[in-house]
Amino acid sequence: MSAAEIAQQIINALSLGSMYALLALGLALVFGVMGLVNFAYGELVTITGYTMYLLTLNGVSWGIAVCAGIVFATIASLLMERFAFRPLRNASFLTLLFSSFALSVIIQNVFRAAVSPRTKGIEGPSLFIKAIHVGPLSISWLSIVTIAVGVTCLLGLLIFMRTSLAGIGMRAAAENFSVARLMGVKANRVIALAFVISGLLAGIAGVLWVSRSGSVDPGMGFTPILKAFIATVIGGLGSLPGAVLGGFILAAAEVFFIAVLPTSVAPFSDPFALLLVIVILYFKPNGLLAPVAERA
Amino acid sequence: MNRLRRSLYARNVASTSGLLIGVLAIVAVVGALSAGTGSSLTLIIPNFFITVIIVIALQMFTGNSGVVSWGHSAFVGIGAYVTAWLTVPSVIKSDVFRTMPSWLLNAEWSFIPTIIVATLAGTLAAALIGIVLCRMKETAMAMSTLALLVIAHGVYANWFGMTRGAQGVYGLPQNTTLWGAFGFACLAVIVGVTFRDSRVGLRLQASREDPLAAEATGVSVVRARYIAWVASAALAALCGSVWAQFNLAFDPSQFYYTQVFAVLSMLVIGGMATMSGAIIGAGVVTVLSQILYNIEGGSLFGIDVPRISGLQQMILAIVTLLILIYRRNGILSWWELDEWVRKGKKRLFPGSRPPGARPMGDDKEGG
Repeated sequence: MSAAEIAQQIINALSLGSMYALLALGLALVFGVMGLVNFAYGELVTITGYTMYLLTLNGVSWGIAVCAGIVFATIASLLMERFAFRPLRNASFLTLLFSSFALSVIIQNVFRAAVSPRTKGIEGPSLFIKAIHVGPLSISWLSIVTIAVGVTCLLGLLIFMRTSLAGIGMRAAAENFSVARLMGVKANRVIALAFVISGLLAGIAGVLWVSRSGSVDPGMGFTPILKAFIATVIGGLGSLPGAVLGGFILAAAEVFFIAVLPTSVAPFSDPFALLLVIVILYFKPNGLLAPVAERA
Repeated sequence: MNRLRRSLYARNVASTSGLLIGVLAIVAVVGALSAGTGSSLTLIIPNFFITVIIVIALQMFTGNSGVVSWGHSAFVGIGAYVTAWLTVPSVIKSDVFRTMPSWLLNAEWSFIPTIIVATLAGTLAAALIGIVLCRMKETAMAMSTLALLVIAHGVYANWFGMTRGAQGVYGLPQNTTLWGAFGFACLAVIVGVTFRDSRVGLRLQASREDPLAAEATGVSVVRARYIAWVASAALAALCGSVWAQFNLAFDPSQFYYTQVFAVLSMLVIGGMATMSGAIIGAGVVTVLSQILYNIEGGSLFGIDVPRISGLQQMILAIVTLLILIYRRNGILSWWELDEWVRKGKKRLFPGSRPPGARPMGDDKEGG
């Protein structure tokens, strides 16, 4: 493989990784504050996708549809917290997981019944399909936008979590919820905030996801949640830097296997990437950057 | 320990499995009576028994250990594909399986040997994967079972020469009868109830309540989980084999997360701590699905209803969510059916025999 090809694959991995990192962060944030692996998180991507689909279908410009998609995902995330997860506060990991799984099935089928069970195409701006050529490399605008958006969001979140009072409160809550409450962090507020940021991240990642796939369907949320779940577990559940790292590792593994596997076994690239993940977890059962303290 | 266990549980194993098998037998008789009437019960009831097997398989692992597994559909798939390899008539085989080795092309096995081999195949796979999976933390293990599901689905959908990919397999002989399905469901009940009250089962339940405390009292959580994992995967593969010989054709999408959700919701609705809960859950979901299926199909008891796609799954998910919010431990919560009967008797006739032992870590009153 030539140097140019390797550079090309690295760019692919970075672009895919930024998307996975955003998705994983949203999942990790909510897990941090309430111990919930939110399976319905993937449906936020679906909500973004369908908002964009329905709006662009009715002649709304793409830019406005994107903003609306992100806003709707955020609102949906907040509503989920209020109506499905607040009654389950302090429930066991298993109960929370099942209820989010049930919620995800409900949302999927709302779209199946209300819109259509079939896949629908959605057109992004024509710029995304074009590519720029740097020497032997050809980089699509979509990858550039994805990486730029990913880096901006990560930096923005980093600054927010490090400097703002709410961000520090959230980090404290993720570390030890009861002690954080004793220090004056409001439980309802910090959890709601985590869901808002999580929805925002899912919305942004959702826009990138839909631009990449070019279509929406009711079951589309499964792949993003799967990737996010895997990324957070590789990184160590509850660790935010871990989630980002996990996202990039997963993306790198996928791109690597697609690039090196011969065409006869190419369809098995995803299974290979997942096997690699299981191997990582075998050696680091708690993930790469697991929080030191044991969660009670 | 042994004596204590016997006095607490020996009676329960017999009475629980006896009562549950009795209930299943009544259902089987209804099924037998409906044969030849053209009623849809002739399909629904054997399918219910097959569902009971997979729900019990999942209960054995997830119910006792508290670790969720999404991966059991993968083992159902192994059971089903091995069954197809062994039973599909040679004439059809050369058409369906392009790269099948010739010694397998001529295999046309009968019902029981096929099930034994299919179960062994699933057991072997689970034994290998379990070495890696069972030493992970609960959350990592849950994720890895999900990864396992996706890996297995990827293999079934892409190993074209041996699975015919997404198009699926057809041509299996109909070897599973109503009574065959009933027999294996009874076997699953006995295995499940015995396992629950066995030494390993009790240790596993202790680890479900508090893994650290269980470790501290000398329970090897990894070992207990491993045994349960392999045993429940064996039952799942058996279920796949029985199912494949009833359904006669299948494709990879039938071993994916929609099915996993259906089985998990049965466990949640009935109550995953008990065997009776698993079976009641399977029953409730089967009945509910059938009613909803008719609505989805456009008519309910002869009344026309507008067609809504996905309604069946949606209602099922809503019921599951409501159960989780308002009755977290499922309909039966911590007690087996026979214990409920005895509780009821005690309420009606005070002074009769007290209810049987409650499972460990029971800190909530049911009801």
